[in-house]
Amino acid sequence: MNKLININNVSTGYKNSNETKVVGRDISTSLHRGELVCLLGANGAGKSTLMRSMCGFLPTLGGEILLNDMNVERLSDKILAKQVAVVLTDKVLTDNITVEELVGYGRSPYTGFLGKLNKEDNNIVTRSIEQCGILDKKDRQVHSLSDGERQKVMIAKALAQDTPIILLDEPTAFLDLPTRVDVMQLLRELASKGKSILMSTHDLDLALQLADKIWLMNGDGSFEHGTPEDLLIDNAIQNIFNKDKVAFDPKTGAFQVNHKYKFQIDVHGDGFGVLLLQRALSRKGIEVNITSRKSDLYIAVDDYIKPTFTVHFLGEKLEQFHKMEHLVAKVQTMLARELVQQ
Amino acid sequence: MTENSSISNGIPFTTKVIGLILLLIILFLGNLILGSVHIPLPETLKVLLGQSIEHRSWELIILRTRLPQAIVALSAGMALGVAGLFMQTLFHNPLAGPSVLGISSGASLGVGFVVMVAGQVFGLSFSTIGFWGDFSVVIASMLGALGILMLILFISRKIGGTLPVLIMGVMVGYLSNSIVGILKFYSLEEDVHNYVIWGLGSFSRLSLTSALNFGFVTVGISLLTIFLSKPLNLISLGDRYAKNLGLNIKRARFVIIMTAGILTAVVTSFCGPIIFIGMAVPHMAKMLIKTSNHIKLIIMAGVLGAATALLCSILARMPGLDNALPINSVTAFVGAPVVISVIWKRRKQ
Repeated sequence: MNKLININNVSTGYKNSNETKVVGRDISTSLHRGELVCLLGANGAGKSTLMRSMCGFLPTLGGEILLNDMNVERLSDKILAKQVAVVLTDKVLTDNITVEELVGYGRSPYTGFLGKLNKEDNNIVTRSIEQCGILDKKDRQVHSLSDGERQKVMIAKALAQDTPIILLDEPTAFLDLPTRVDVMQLLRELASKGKSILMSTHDLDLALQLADKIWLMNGDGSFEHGTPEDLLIDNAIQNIFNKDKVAFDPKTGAFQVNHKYKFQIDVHGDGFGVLLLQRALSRKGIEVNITSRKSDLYIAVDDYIKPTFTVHFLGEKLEQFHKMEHLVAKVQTMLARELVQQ
Repeated sequence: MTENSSISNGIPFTTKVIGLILLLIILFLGNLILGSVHIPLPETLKVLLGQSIEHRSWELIILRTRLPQAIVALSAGMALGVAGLFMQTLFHNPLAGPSVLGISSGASLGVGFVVMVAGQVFGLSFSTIGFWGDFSVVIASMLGALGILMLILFISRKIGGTLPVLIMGVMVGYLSNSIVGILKFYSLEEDVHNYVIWGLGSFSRLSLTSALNFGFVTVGISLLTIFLSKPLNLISLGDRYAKNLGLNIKRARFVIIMTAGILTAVVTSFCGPIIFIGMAVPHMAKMLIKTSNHIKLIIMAGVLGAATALLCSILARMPGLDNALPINSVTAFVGAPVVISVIWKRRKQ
C-alpha cells in the first residue's frame, strides 16, 4: 500500500522562549492511502497536538513528518492546502454564510486572485455536498443547521479541497449517538473511495468497529498503533482504558462500567428480560446470579412476549411485577431488611 | 458562486447596489441644495455643469463650501465603512471599528502636540495663521496616525495573533488620551478649544481641489480593497481554517491592517476622528445582503458608508440651524442605534 504520511520518531509539544513542553514522544507510524485511522487517547494525551503538527500548524520538537517524502514543515501553506484538509473543533464564526458558500471556500487553493469559482469548481462543490448527504441544505445558512449537519458541511468543505488526506479533530464530539454513527460511516465510506482519513475521537466503540487502524496515545507520552484487533490481542487498548471503573468485556467487545456490588440475588430465566434486570440491579449495587437453584429469595423471569418478573420468597410466590421500577424498589427493601436482620 | 446564493428578501445584489447608488446621488445633491440658504435643484445642476447662474453667491456657496464638503463626506464615509468591515472581519468582533487600532488616538496625539504645545512654545495660535496652521494639523495627525500604525504592524509581525493587536490598539488609545489630558491641563484655553473642535470632526476643512485629491486617494484605495476579498473571506472562517486553505495568514493580516490603517489615517488627518460610521456601516451592509462574500460586502460597506456620511452631513446642517452641528454628534445619533440593535438581535439569538 501507498504510504502518504510517514511519521519518524516525532516528538510533539509546545516551545516558547523559556520552556519546552513535550506532549508526545517517539511517535513513529504511517498513514496509507484509503485508510480510516482513529486516534485515541485520554484528554491531554496529545491527540490534537499531533494533528496540529501533521497539518503544519505547529512545528515538531524532534523527528520529522513526511508527506509524500517531503517534510511538512518545509512545505508552503499553498502546497499543504492541496495535500491536507482539516476539520477542526473551532466553530466557524462567520454569520450569513450558506452551506454552498462555505463549501465553496474549500476551493480556495485552486481559485484565482478574487476567489471566483469556475464551472468545474462549482461542480466539485455540488458533488462534495452531495457526497455528504446534505444537498437539500445547500442554500441554508450554516448557523441554522444542527451540529451534525454543520459537521457534515465542514467535511464537505474538506472534500471540496480535493486533498488526498483529511484530518479531523474530534468530529463526533457533541453529537448524539445516531449522528455520530452517521458521521463515522460517512468517513468510512470516503476512506473506501480512496481518501486517507485520520480522526481523533473518544468514541472507542465506534472506532473499534469502523477504523482500519488505531493510533493510541498513552497519557505518559508513549504511542502504539495497529489494527483494532491486534491492539486488543496485545492488550494495548485494555491497558489504557481499563481503570477500576471501566472494564473491557471480551464477550461483547465493548467497554462496560464496573459496578461495586453490595448484595447478590438469584435469578431464574434467560433472554432480554434477564439482561435488563441485570442492568437495573447492577446500578443499585446488586449482583445477579443466573441459576436454577431454589434459594430463599429469587426472581423468576418469564420472557414470554413481554418480560414479567416474579419474586419468590421462602418457597412462595410473593409478588408479580410488570414494571422494573417497582420490582427494583421491592428487591431493594427486602435486601436491606435482610441486612438488618443479619 | 451563482448570483442566486446572494439573493435575500428576493432582491438581487446588483439591484440593491444600483438602488443605493441612486440614493447616494440624491443625498449628494441634497448636500448641495439644503442648508441655511436653499438653492434650487436646476441652479445647482447648472453650477455643477460649469454654467454661470444669476446668483453669484449661490455659485460660491456650492463651489467653495458645499461641493467640497459633499465630496469629503462621500469619500470619508466610504473609506471608514470599508476600514470598519476589515476590522470586524479580522478581529471576529462586531464591535470593532477603525478606531480599535488606536490610529485615531495617534492622530489625536499628533494634533494635540501641534495645537496645544507648539502654540505655546512658538507663541502663535494656529487658528490665526490660516493655511499653514491647517496644513501642520494635517501633517501632525498623519504622523501620529502612521506612527501608531507602524507600531501596530510591528507588533502583529513580531507577536502574531489578533488579540495582542487589539489590546495594543486599545492601550495605545488610553495612553495617548492621558498624554492629551496632560497637554490640555497645561494649555491655554483657546488652544484647548481648538483641539476640542478638531476632535469633533468635520467634513468641511478642505478646498475644492484638496477635496478632489482627498476623494481620489480614499475612493481609489477603497476600490482597490476588493482585491483583498479572498483573504478576508478565508480569515472570516477562522485563522486556522484560513491557513489550511493556503492563506499566508501573517502576510494577509499585515496587508489588511495596513490598508484599513491607511484609510483611517487619511480620513482622520483631514476630517478629525469620525466616530461610529466605521462601526455601524458594516452591520448595515450585513443586514442588507445576507452573504459572507467580501467582494459584495466591501462594495456594500463602501456605498453605504458614503451614503451614511452624506446623510449625517445633511442632518448636521438642517435648515433652521445657523451653524452646522459637529459631525460626530450626528454620526453617533445615526450609528449608535444601529449598533445597539445589532447587539439586541445577537442577545435574542
